[in-house]
Amino acid sequence: MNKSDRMKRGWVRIGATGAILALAVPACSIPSETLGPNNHVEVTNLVGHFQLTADNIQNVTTVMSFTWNNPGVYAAINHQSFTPHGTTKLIIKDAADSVLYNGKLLDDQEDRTLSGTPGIWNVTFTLDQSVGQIDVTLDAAWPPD
Amino acid sequence: MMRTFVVVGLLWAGMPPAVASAQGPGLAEIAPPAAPRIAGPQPVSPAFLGLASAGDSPAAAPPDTLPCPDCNPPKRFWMAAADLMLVQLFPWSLNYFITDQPWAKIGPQSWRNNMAYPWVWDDNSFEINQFRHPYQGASYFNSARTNGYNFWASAAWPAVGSLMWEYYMEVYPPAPNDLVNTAVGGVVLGETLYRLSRLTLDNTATGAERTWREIGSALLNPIGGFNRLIRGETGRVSANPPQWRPSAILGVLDLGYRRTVQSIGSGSIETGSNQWNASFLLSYGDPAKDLSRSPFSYFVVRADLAGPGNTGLLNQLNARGSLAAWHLDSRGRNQVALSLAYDYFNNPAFEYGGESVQLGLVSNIGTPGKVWWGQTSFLFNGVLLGAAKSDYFQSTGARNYDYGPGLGTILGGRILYRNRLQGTVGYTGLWIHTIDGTQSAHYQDALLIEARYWASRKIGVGLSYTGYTRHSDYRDLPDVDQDARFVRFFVSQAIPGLPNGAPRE
Repeated sequence: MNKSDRMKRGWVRIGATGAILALAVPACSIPSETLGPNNHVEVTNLVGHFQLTADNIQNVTTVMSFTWNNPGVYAAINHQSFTPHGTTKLIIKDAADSVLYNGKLLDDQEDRTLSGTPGIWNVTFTLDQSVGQIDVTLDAAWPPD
Repeated sequence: MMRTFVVVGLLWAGMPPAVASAQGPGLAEIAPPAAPRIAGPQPVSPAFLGLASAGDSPAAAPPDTLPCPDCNPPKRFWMAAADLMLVQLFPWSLNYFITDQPWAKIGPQSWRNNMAYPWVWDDNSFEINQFRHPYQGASYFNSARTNGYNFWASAAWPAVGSLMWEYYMEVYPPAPNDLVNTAVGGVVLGETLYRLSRLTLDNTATGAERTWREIGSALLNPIGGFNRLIRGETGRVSANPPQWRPSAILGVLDLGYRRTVQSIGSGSIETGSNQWNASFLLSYGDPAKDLSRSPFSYFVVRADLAGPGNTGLLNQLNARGSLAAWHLDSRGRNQVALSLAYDYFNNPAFEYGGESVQLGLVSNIGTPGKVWWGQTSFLFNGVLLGAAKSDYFQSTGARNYDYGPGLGTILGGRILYRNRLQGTVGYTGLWIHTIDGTQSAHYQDALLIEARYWASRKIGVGLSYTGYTRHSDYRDLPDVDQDARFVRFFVSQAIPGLPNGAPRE
């Protein structure tokens, strides 16, 4: 094989790789799902402590709401989720129905809500074509003396 | 012999960060058409790197009698593909097996997801997106470049490698900024490192010198070093290909003091500081004649360090290489030149990084080497993707900067008297239109005025004024103005040194 042929072969291979990638993109689509047994959803809902975990989430669109008894003024949030695709949000309202937190689920990060009214809080998870796993922990917290 | 080139190098060393880095093509006109050139593959380059030339090695064989397998190497497609996979598998393995990163848990499902879901601008830190991705792209580039492919054939590999990584080697969705930074930045950095690594090598050397050269080359270009090792080339004595040696090379190191004054909000808050400043410029190739030769036959790398300060040690890093040039007249006094650049700036006025293409007219007045010589540059700067630090944007990750394409102009004028006194004025203006981040547009300017005096072939002194300004126009948030001014006094060391014979008084 001469030099010219080898060059052509190289370019053909590069072009073929690009073409496969380009064609593959519109060829795939995933139907929207809801959470099921495969997602191993576990909720721990205690006074002053709340945790939700779920895994194997694949293109899920759903809303999950919980009431949680928080004796604290605010909630400390421990994010350990991983949701690379879609939009997954956490919304927290206090006993006065004020929104204290509205943000995306994060990977390995500490956060906190705004200060609010202790009592029965509302915790809502909104999943929109989400992929990944959820692990969020809330703990009652008070400002330091 | 080296006068023409060194004059060019001196002028480069005198340019302001933003201006100098953007005026590579302009240097083409510094040399007169009939200027003497250094012929052959080994002019001054090894000495510049502090290395002995081939002829200095006692064990060196006469180059003319040696075979030269590297002069026209075969194209090894499968070896190049294996290298590219190695470059992908190495970081992936570290993150999968050692640090257990969730994004590295790839498989058929993640591949399907990445195909089906839309691309997303990622929120990685500036360092990851603007430094690590171009470096990864450089490794993709050198997978092909060190396996017999030329510049243009190798230039496709960073893009292909980036697409492979984005789709198949991480769970995160593909990111357009990663593709551009890897594909374009990888070409600039890849060819620069390739040429520097080849400059470091000497196939005629043996013993300890050969070992250190191979190690140095591998540090500059790890994938190239790996290929030489497994092919048994690290100890093989042969001739050096002519293309491994530039027609000329020069480094200029400036060390000195810098007074920095910065202000926010149109001067309402102003602070100043005293800093040390070190600047190094490497000019590879003949900026006059190499511009129209193979890509990156002429390139410039520049790094600026300063401290103490709150902008970090690295103030500037640029790599800029020639792609093509067209002479507009028979004497070559006017030339249209095209170049590819990778830029990073970090000063109190703005932090910016990006890849760009530059095209423009460069004209000479007078003749280099005579009493007076001058040059003007009018360049168009097309930013493919720029990252400009935002005053407001903060992603859920580590990103605090806006992304967007941009346009700019680069104007320069220089004059040289008897190769001893040098004056430079330059201006660079850049507009970045944000397409991801805060809804905004960033306007960045740089102005330089500099004077330099060369007392000998190796030592010079100079002073300069540089002004940076930024106006960030935010749609729904207050606009921000910031500026920084530097006055710099410095001592210059030319490496290996200016040539003898310059017309001085």
